[in-house]
Amino acid sequence: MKTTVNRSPTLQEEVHRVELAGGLQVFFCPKPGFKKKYACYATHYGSVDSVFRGPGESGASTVPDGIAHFLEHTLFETEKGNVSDLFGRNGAYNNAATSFSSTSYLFASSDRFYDNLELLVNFVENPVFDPDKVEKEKGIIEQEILRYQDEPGWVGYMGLLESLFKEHPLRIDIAGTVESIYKIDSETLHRCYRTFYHPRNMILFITGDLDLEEIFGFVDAKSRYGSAGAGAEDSGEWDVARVFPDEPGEVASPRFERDMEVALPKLLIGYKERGVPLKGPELLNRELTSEFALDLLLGRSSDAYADLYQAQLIQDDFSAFYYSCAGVAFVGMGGETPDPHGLRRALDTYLGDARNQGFQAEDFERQKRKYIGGFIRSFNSLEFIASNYTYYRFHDLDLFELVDALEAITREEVEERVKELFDPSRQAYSLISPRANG
Amino acid sequence: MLTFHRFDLPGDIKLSILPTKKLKTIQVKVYFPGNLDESVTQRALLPMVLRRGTARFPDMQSMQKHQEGLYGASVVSGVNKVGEWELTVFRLETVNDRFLPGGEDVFSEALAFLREYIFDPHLENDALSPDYVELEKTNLGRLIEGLIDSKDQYALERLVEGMCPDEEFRRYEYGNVEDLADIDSATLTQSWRDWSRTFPCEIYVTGDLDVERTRDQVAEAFRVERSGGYDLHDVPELRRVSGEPRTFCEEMAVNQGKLCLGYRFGVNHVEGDLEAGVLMNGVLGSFSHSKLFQNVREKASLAYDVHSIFEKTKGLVFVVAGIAVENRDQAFEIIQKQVDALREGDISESELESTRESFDNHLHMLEDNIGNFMEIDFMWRLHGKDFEIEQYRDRLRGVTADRIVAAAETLQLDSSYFLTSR
Repeated sequence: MKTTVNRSPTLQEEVHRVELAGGLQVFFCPKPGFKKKYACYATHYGSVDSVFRGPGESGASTVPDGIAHFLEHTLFETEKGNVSDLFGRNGAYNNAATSFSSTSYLFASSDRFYDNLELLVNFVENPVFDPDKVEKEKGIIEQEILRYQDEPGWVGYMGLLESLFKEHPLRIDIAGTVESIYKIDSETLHRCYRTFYHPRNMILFITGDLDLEEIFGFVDAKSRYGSAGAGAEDSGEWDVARVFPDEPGEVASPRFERDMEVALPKLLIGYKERGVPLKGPELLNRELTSEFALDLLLGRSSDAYADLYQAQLIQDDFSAFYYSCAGVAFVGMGGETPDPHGLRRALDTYLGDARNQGFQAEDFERQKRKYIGGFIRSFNSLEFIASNYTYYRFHDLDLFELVDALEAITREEVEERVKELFDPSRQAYSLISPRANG
Repeated sequence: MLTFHRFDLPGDIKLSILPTKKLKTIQVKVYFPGNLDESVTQRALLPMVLRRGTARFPDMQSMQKHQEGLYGASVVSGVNKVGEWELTVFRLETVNDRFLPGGEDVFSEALAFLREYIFDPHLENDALSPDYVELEKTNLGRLIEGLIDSKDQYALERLVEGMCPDEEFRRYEYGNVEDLADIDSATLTQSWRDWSRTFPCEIYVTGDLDVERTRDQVAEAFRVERSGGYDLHDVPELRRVSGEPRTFCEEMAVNQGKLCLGYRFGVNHVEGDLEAGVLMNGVLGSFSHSKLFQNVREKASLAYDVHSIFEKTKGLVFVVAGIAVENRDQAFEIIQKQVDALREGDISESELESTRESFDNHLHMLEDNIGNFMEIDFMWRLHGKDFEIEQYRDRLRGVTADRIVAAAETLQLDSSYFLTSR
């Protein structure tokens, strides 16, 4: 096996890579002196991938909403029992998560690492689709959905996405709906698995105080994509077409409003973007310049934040962020406020004015220092390294190049971004209001 | 091997330094433990006002700019409740100078800033700014009322309120809205002076650092006038249940019901068999192999989330489950059955071994999670005990099924609370 290494002198970290015979990429970040060992097996497949043409299929078709998340639950049931029990017997912590664009399975342990790694690789690569268990899982997922429906933050977030996007599946809850999950059966789950749990669409990331040769040798021996495994023959290209609808310029609806059991109104204003790069340095630059713009305009050291805080229109939880996924993106900004319409007007005014104003060089450079510090700091966490390295690879990027990308951003680029981001015709908001008692 | 170096600094400040190569940052925590009492609202307000401005940086914007210039050094402050204590905590994190481009000395300045944040706030006419105090009173009021936004937390707080009406433990860590009216700049300034001078003060520092140099840096930065002398209460005595279990129910427009059960336990940090208590809670509801998860979720498909919590200072166990409202009785029955099973010794070898292994792994990994490691060290010392991780791990390993049964026998259901739909 040919291994390559990626080193970051700034971070004083390195990541080794190997590609198994069957096409799976395995990464290893050594952490000498650490007791904790961590592995994460991820597929670049999430809730937005609901229309696709799988390998050998003639045309694209649509699967029920929430199926990627349902599949995550299904993989936990193996012939030897529930995976959590099996990890539990080894004393390991395990979990899984489905997002809009990926699904990941992970564990952390100090002892019996190789037993746990074998378990992880086995259950992700060898699923069982038992119709009885699939039926049984529906009750549990239903409670998971209902739980989120009582969380005002999540309801407001999904409400904004629903308002911003007319066609793009980002508007649909990751877990689907109670109705959609009852339409899911083991056959469709299997089809999604075959399509997206493909070695060319997956990454296994391992970190801890482990030996490089031993770890890659072990994975090669245990994975079905290793040299002696059932999936050793490299199928070459991964022949799948994901289909995303054309998202129109205008928003689906200017607002989403809901009364809930909350103390204060929660406002979230959004602006959508289309034609966002899918991957590569263009995507990274788009994300970084957008985040810079938001931080300079609305971050904690901005004039807007100081004014709005003093006017009691915002409080500590106010935030502004940028999120991109599968060709679209949006800006979100807001928090709890006693006067949502006053806050909306104030933000409209700030952002309108901002389009014609530049930034001070001093503020811009200070912001860069903050980002670089924050990035170095995040490398304290093994989980951060694993999940971000993987996210970057899925998008043809290298996490270690982030500092260079940060350094390269210019003030002019960020000023340009401000002009593009806040187009009033692409704005929508969600508002969660306290229910009137009685 | 993680070893704390302890020092007594002038001004009745205790300093613990924990060198480690595992961090790219330096973390500092400053703890002021106090009693959970009628001053809880004032105590919660204090850090909210302190973060508004310091002597050198009189408003949040200038503080923030200063921190950004220090590569985003962050200071977070707040309160949290531990049994019948209320801790005020300040946490600084800054990138270790070793990783910074110009080899700048960010840490010394960050320490000075932290000291200023706590001991040298922005004053107007020798008092905390009346504007800041009034505005933060509003924010604290909103924070307290905002508890309802998180139904899990809300349900648990309501259970505690109903279960412990005559105990200090009933108080919410952020206090209550009614108290706010009596607080103004004059009273809060007085409270800040008493607090900063008399409350116990413990500083923890960790990172890839030199112990002697760090001690000198902290001693230099934290030269403050303090007398000490605050009377911190001991761990409260365990209480037993008298009378029938109480039931509380509340209706709200929700999709999911929250069932919370509160048990009195014959174990806490200082009484009873602590390690058996920890294992008991593990077998009952800390993990996905635990009885609650297996029976309420996996077998009966009643819940997505169900777990138990062991409050080690007061000696209480809570069970929390999110369920469909019509399943309340069934869920209640299954939960009680799991507790009965423990009392009757129905603990399989695999349940016991999985729980032992899980704690064992958890404690090993804790040595990498330096922030939590420091926190636990502080908590144990607050209870008058030393946290010796190796010995503790061995003691947990040695817990037998019999000891778990004996611990479970001391569980008494005190109260249950149900948040249901209208």
